Amino acid sequence: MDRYGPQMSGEQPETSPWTLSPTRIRPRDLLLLTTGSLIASFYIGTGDISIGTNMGAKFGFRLWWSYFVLGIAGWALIDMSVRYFLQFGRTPMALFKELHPALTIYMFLAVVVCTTFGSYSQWAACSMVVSGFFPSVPIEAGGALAALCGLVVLLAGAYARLERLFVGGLITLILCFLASALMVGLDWTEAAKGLVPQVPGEGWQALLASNGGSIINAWLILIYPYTMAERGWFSNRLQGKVNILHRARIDYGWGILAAGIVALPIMAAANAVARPFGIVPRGYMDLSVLLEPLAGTWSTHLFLVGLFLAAWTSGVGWWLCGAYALLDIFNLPIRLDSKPMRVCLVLFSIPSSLLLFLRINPVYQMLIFSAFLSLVTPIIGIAMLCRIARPDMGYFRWSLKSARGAAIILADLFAIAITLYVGVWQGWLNFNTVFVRR
Amino acid sequence: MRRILSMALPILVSSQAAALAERGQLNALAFAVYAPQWTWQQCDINVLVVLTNRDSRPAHVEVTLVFPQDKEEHFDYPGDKPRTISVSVPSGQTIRRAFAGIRPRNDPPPQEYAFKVSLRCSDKQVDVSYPVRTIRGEAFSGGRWVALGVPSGVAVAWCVAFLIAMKRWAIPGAWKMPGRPVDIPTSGEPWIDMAPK
Repeated sequence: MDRYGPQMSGEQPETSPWTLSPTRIRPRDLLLLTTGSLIASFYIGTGDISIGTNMGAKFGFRLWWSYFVLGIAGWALIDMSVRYFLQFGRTPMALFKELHPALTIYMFLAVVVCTTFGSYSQWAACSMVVSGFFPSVPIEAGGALAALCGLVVLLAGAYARLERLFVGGLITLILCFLASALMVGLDWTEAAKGLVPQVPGEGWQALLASNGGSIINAWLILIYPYTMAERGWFSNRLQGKVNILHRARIDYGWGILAAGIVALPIMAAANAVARPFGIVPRGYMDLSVLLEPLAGTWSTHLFLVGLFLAAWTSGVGWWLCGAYALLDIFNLPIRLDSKPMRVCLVLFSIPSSLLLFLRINPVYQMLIFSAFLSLVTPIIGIAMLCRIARPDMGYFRWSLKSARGAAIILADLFAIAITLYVGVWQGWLNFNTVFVRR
Repeated sequence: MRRILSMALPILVSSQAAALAERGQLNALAFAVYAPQWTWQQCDINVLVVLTNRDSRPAHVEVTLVFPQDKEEHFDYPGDKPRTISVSVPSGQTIRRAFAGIRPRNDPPPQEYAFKVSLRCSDKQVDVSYPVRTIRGEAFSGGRWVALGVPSGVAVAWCVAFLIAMKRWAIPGAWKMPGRPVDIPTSGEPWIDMAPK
């Protein structure tokens, strides 16, 4: 019997793992899968755009495959946390509390630091875009306005409306980037070749590791169960759990796929504009400026609009997940329209906006942010793996008795291997570079 | 598709390109110079030059980037990067070159600068005027450690603020105890407990 009682798992003891079929999803129901766009917002921010730009400038499309290979690992990480939630009705934060209180303290620090710095860098990007369109507008004003809009949207407290907003934002930014890239020329044949895993040339490992750090991070393990709690995606019946898992997998699969889709036009633009001249853009804004001489004003404008939407949705996503995580740490209800949630959102908005007025280069905060994530992500990944590998996962336990079960084990192990590579090999062993002058 | 978009959008909304896109001819050599006309301070300017040789013989050309008079110190441009590029363009070929990484410094006030790109082939020379405007960009003086320390201090201070705020609603010791399982929804979406057909 499951340790939380039959009420919680609702499964019949004799049901073999991974043997039930989910209810088929009608095509129109796919349109209702909206949380994936929230997941996508975590990926598609200034970091994703900078990485895509560098990849395109150095290697053209030849690292495009890395988004999808790393995406498998990201998908598996989310899947682990969702299976845990469905089995026990608890979020992964409960797992960390069970391990040791010190981990909770570390998670608290990581949530506050990473949410503050992660969102600040997005508001800084929004401010740069506003300055690009209206050079006379102070940078601080543009960024603060973007942050204020985000806060207003979140304080309105309607979670369903928020998801629809993110869907609209994601589709719009994809179209903007795509149109911008089409204006400079997109070689579809070369892009297709970029889907084949390959070694493109010197320096590719650093970009791969950066991409891994962007796609695979600790928030992945946390965020999706929060959205499930918000939407009431939980059941005490096994068939219900199977149905929810099926829908959730398509949902966050879309979210991860979106990161790879957005990367294509960004790589194309960098490949066409920067690569022929041996230029490697230093930041997310450099490419937009390079577009203008070769493809005209509208190419730059569309790119800037796409960049603004990517940064804004990412900033809002950071606040949302950070606030959810804090409520979870203190065992408060996971609800967007609750008073503690609103207080958390306001508290996050203050430092991440005030840092704009200090006009500090976001690069430095991102170093601290990256160090925190690279330290915590491997630990969280291993903790999650050890937990979901236990037999009390019931129907969702590891099993080699079926192809589905074996595939899940492979995906989980692959995810942790990538997490360790990115977090330990690239993060821990290079941690001292934070303090080394570049 | 690219051509349609490139043609249609400027027609739909006429808007001047805020960039230098100067084309010309130097003997049998066709040239084009591209560069942005505005940039943030501390963000690189890249000047792109495209040379096409339509003659039956190779063409040798020197391309020089001329900095604004008396304002060279307003920019960071490493000494190992060339200011004059000598290019030999084979017959019928197109060659691209760039003066990359010209970085406006933070200290001077935002202003317009008068660069020049000079192209010389045999005994002929063409000068392309290149005005570029700088606007204020992200900046924080005080060194790397201040840039690391101040935000870190803000984050630590805000951890205290969150602790004070959360203490108001959380029961003592909640941070150490796993939360109770999520409530089973009384009216979930109909597809959740639907059996497959």
